[in-house]
Amino acid sequence: MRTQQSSIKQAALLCAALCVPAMFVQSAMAQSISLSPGYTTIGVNQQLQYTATVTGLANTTVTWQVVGITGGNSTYGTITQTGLYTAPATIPANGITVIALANDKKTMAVTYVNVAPAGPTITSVSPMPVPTGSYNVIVTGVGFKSGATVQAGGANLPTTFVNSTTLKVSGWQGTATKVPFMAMNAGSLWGPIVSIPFVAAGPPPPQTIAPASVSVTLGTTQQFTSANATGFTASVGTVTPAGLYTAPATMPASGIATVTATGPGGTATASISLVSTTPQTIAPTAVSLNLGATQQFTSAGATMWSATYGSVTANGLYTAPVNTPATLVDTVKAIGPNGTAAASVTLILPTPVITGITVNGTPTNSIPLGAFTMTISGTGFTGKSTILLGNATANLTGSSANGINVSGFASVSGNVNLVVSNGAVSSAPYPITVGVSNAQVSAAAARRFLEQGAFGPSPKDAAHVQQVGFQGWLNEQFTMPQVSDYSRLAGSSQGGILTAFLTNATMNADQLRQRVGFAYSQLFVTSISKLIFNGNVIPYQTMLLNDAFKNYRQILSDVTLSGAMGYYLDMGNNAKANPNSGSVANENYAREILQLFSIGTKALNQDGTVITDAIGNPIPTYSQFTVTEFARVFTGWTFAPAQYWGQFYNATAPMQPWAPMHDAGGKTLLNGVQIQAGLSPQADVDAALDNIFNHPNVGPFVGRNLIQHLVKSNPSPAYIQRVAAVFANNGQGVRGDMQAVITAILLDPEARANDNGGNDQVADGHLTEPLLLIPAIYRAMGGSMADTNYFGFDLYNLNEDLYNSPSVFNYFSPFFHAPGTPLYGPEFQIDTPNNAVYRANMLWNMIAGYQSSVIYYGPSTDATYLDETPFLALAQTPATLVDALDLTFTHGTMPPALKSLVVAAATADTNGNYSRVQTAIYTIISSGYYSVWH
Amino acid sequence: MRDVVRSVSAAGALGALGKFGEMNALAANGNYKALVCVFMAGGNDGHNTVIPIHTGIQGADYATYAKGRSFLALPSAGLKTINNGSDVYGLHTQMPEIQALYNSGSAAVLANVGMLVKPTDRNSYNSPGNSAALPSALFSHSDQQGQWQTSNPTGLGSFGWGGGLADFMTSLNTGAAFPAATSTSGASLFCTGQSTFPASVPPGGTPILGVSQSAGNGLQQVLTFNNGMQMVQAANGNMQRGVNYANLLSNALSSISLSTVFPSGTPDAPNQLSPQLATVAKMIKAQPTLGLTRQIFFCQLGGFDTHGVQLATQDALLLQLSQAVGAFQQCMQSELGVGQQVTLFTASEFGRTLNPNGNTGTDHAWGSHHFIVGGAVQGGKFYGQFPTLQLGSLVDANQRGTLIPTTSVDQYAATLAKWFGVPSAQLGTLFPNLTANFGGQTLGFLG
Repeated sequence: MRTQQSSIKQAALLCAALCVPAMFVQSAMAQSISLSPGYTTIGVNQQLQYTATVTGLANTTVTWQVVGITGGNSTYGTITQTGLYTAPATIPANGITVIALANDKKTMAVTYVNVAPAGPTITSVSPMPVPTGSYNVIVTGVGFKSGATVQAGGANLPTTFVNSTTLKVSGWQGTATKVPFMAMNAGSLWGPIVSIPFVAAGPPPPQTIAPASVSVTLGTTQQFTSANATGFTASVGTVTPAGLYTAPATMPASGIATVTATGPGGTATASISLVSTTPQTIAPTAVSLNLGATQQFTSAGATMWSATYGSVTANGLYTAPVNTPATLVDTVKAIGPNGTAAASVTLILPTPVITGITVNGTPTNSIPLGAFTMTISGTGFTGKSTILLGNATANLTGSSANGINVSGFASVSGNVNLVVSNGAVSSAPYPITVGVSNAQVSAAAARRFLEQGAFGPSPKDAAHVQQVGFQGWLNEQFTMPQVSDYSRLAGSSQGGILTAFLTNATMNADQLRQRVGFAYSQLFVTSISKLIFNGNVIPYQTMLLNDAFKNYRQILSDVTLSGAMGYYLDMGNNAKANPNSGSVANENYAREILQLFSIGTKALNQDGTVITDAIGNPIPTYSQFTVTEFARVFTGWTFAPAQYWGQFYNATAPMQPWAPMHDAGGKTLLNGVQIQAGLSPQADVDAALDNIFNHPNVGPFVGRNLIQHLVKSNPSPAYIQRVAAVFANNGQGVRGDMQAVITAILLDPEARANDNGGNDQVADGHLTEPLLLIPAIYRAMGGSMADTNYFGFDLYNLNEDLYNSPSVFNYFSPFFHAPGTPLYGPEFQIDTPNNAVYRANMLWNMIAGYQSSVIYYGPSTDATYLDETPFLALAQTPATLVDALDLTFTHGTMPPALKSLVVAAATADTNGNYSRVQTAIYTIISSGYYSVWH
Repeated sequence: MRDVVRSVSAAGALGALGKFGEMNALAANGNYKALVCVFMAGGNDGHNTVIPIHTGIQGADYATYAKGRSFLALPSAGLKTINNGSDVYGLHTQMPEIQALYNSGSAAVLANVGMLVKPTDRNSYNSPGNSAALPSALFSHSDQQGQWQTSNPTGLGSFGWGGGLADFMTSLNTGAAFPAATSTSGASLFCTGQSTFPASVPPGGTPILGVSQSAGNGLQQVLTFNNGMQMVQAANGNMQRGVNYANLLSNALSSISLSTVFPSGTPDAPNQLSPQLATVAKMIKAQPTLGLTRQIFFCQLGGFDTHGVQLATQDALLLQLSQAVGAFQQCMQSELGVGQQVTLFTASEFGRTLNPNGNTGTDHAWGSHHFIVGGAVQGGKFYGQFPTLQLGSLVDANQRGTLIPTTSVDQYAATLAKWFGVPSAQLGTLFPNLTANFGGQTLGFLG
């Protein structure tokens, strides 16, 4: 209170001297000084920095005073001319003012400073760190006085004064952290802060004893130590409370003793191996034995025998283990009156002998390409035998002395030696064949061929093609009854035909029929976009599969009269011209059968090139007049059962004629061919289809289209010409024999060029459309597909929803250009940049699973999955892994430059075998090189 | 199905602005322009889209129309009437929005436009040996779609005129990694240029690559493999562009939303054009982020190939067209403030016969009527020559009201291109027949 009263008095004094009454203030420019800090308590000898801020004066320097004395003095403290105040060593009797006086010697500011004794200093705390919870500690420091108080973390602690350097305090601390400690005496400031660490309190550390294990000669002593031990005991011999052990004079039966110490951390036990003054011996001390062989050991007075791997009788007869142990050295121990004696047995492995192999339960001398499992029969096998197949290590999955189960992946065909080794001891080489013996075509050729005649290769189908050859396989396919059907689908539903299509394409044996039928469905297009229900396209799809190997003329007729096409392109219920209403025959089917299904708009040479007139313009194959004439042909048909004209659409049966609505007038068809008036609807259609069928464009037009679907987007004119020639004449004078045409397409030298790789050409290949790509990946990996697969939405988004093309122009045009190239690339029309990313994501979802090698793309209760397990064992050698994937996806002919990129990508994946395998698979199947089959 | 569409934050400059701020940001780029092509695939029947009621043109009146159209004639009572000077026409009953745009001066009609090599009439069409003077493969969907989109009547064009405009405007889009041309309907010949590889942005959104980092790195590596096979390169290029475009687009669109409501139709009859035009609107709004000063869009509405059941089918389609275009124009004008800078136009491979077939439908024909919509359009009037509807006239290729166009696609496209910024002197480079056979004349509907 003293200081405060003084402050008020001083302020009033200052104001009387200096202040201008407020009413006379003209501006805000009155002179003043503000002083910082204000009233402050500091310890003796401590320093405090003051700051004066002068306003209203040009010169802002100040003179510093203590109790009016410039610079102060030792009684009241000193101040520098920069405002640094130092308190006196002794507390003065009177109050102390610090004054800043402005340059004008009138304006000033003043504040009090209070000097108090400094607090005592803590130097340390014991124990340190302090355990958390309730604690009692000794505080050591300087300047403690009776009545001193210690504060920790802001709380005053119960404090007992011991002497000027020692205090005892107690407290409670919850968390293990650093806590600020400081002390004060009565009337002093707090002393400096010391940060004291606390640690989590815990149980005492486990008791230990040293030495923990020692040999002691009978009758001698050994000192044991154990921290804060409260007692020692010994199993044999004696031990003092201080831990001095004395061994017995004679050897106990066990040959060992223990000393146990008890202390705050529990008990600790040392083991003592008692040593006789005359050690136990064993004979022989070292011996080599075959697995399972016996050896007699002797050891004087031995009472106990043991062996690490083999067995020993009470009489010392040792029998070596039958199976190969972890190490090939066994130890035999005897314990007798003079301790323990040990002998070493070196185990000798047998020489393996291979007598035969079986693959899938069948004795053979060959293994297939791809993933395989085989059993090696013979003798001398051990659980640690290693198997070498050529240069590759195979994976042992189980063994007995007479048989070894092996799994592996064979990537290269050829004759190799199989060798089984037990360490340095190896079997005689056993020659076996990898891949197909006496193959008609190479593994690469078979795989490439199945990308053209099937939905890609499966390991099994590829091996079969190698066995029977291309023509043999074609013959089998031509004569194989139709396997694939869609009768399991509900006809009234929309969609669903697509997922069933994938199942059939992946799983069924009638591959060529399906592949050709799929091409037909993109040539003779109908679409659910108008037909609405499965039930309306399933009969059509079934018909195309059934017709796959028939004559083109038959196909044209079946397509024309099918209920689905009749509805889709309006031939059904197409009425002849009506003079009353002015309506005429519908031109829809007439135009599209000419433009899309048979001859196209431009006259073609037999090699598919466009015939031009004298000034280089294409020559149209037909005119608008031709279209109106054909439109008249296609009148007078309604849907089965044709009870009346205008019968509602029925896709399950061919259309039926309704003569009254047929335009029976004469017509002029292609190339000026006339058909006479008065023909029946059927006769007119027959004549018109014959007229189309015999147009020279059909061979090159249809041939090119099928080549594009099966083999390549840019066939040479010569290739088209060879196929067109077979269309014109199958060699037996028959036109339109599609078996002959398909054979010509698939066996043409241009189709078969580069079957063994290494000679990729600029314009080779065609982009795989999604409906080929998906089954192909499942087939390549030996996977499985079921109707419940999840691909429906994907294919919709990828613009290839089966039987749901946007128009009769199919999902893509045979004349679409691959972006940025002069080449045709029909499938690129649905491979927009957006779809490419969608497809890349779909591929990832097909093959990637976290820590899983069986990847489902459908309910896990059903069979749509890929099994990557065979590849996991290869993951540690990326080059071997990529060799296996090369065979799986790229015929085993991947260019080295690409292969090294894939190996690098796999090697860079260090997230485990699953991830590495999936990265390698993905990198291949998402590449342009794989996407463009060639 | 893993959801691979990740949200990428790109608030950027736009994110900080309110609605009106965005409007100003777009409008402030006074040099910005966009062209939007709405393609009516299948061949829209122009005869029932714009119907003459009474005009000063011989044979262009309701009676002649009704006689030729027979049982497919629309009753005159429901038509949405519009005036061209003193002539009165009716728009299809389902097109009130386009009627309103026409009446407010924001829409124009281009009458009887189609593919032509040079001016053609019935006589020259039928003269023997005249094939060189006619577009190839007339009446074929695929050929005529290709010709409309390339403006090349030989059918040999590999590049669309939209892509050609994008190529031409490259200097205005310098620095933009996203292409100037975008299709909302799959691959688009219209948008494909020599150096322009269009983006494809379906209304459902574009996925970005969603694979593990190791797999993604591996993919990037194998995309560099090139052993000279051109289709491998094309596939790799598509994939690389796809990854790049998707990343840029998800970034640009992440903060874009529209307040304009684009009519979605009904569950049984969803509006197939609305979501496409809404996507276009978003990409126009995202233009500052995409860094494009010129944008070209291609949208497609299919199903116009009405060989049967024409009335109900076209009814549903023109309703979608009119509602979607109406909403789009409102969005451009009122929400984004770029009404003057965006022009929408319709196209279709051909018109249809006036005379019906026996399945309550019509067949492929040639010339047809189209709409140009936008704030820059000199609207409320007709361009080109509205044809007589008398069968067998000089503008009928046969006896079915198969209109021979009196205005060429070249002229139509060149008018749009000129507005878009192609100097008159260079229109002939993009549209050779315009200069050679049509005197270089554009049509004036954009001033």
